[in-house]
Amino acid sequence: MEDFKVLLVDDEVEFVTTLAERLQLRGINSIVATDGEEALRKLYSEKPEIVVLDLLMPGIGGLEILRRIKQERPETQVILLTGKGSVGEGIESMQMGAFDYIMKPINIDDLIDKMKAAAKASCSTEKRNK
Amino acid sequence: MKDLAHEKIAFIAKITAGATHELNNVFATIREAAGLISDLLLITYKNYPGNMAGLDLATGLKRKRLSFLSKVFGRQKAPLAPEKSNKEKQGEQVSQNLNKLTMSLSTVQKQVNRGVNLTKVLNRFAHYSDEPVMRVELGELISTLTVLLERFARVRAVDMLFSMPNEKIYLTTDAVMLQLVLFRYLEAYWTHMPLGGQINLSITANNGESKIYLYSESDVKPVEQWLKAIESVEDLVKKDLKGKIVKNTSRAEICLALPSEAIS
Repeated sequence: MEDFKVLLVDDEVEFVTTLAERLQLRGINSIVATDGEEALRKLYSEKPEIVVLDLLMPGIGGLEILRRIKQERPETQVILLTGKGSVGEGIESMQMGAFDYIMKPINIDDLIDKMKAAAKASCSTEKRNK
Repeated sequence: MKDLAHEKIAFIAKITAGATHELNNVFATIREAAGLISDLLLITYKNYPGNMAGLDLATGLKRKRLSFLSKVFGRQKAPLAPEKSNKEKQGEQVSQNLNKLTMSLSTVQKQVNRGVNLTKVLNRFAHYSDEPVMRVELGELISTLTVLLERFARVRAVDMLFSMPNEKIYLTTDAVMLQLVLFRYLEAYWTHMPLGGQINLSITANNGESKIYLYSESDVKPVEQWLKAIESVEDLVKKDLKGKIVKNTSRAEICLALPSEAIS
């Protein structure tokens, strides 16, 4: 198992649960939230090192969750999932403190590479903050 | 009047963009589900006791060959295949099913990738209507259009070949009108070209002007009608795109020259 925990946030339930299962098969501890409120609850209860966050969700949107994560748990690294054919939102999210972004539909190997890089960054942020 | 027309186009585009976003989610979910099936198949192949599925498939092939030989040479000349045990039969069946599943899965994944690419392009196409005049990357605009028009050209058995330049060329223009004009040009080509022909597209930029070249090595016939179709959008080129068109009928070539930042 990898030594980091990932919170996957997307309102597409079948997408996010299947993705979590595939990540588990690859030794990545993954938990799931299907809306913004559940995501914020699990952020405190599960303390994931990485959050993979869908940009467009009903209710609290991805950018708002990102803002709150960066405000309240800045050591958590966020990877944004963007569904549009444009990279504009991805770039905006990085300006707001996201570690990286990835286009949907995802390539699981690319996502894992980004997660590993984010885990390293999370580790060094935590060390700096201690 | 123009505002109303833009409103209508923008509405269609907005709905299309929203639908492509949803389609993208559909494909993302199918891709993950297919990925999970693929992962599980790999695990099954790996963990099947003693890799029996593979061994029994080989045994099955050997049996088929023996049975074929016995048919060709007669029962006395070829050894008879020994009777299969139930376990062997089961293993062979599992192996065949796994192979079929793998093949079907590869079809699903291939078609998902096709759908994803098409959805991405359609989404980009819809966003070209966001503003009446916008800054666009010309190579991306033309490749988007040619992907979407592939089917139209295919019906006429015509290929479109776009040579994407190494450097990006930007211009500020009415992107929808530019695509409409290019569509009319391409349509003029494939309507008047022989089956199996090829339309070549390329772009260049210098001195604040972007140029789009279209030409075909096949003859366009009748030339007058092809020319008439090209000229039918000349007004749009001049008024809406502030551009000009140069035609070379002997080579079936046209060059659409557009100012890079001239539209108000």
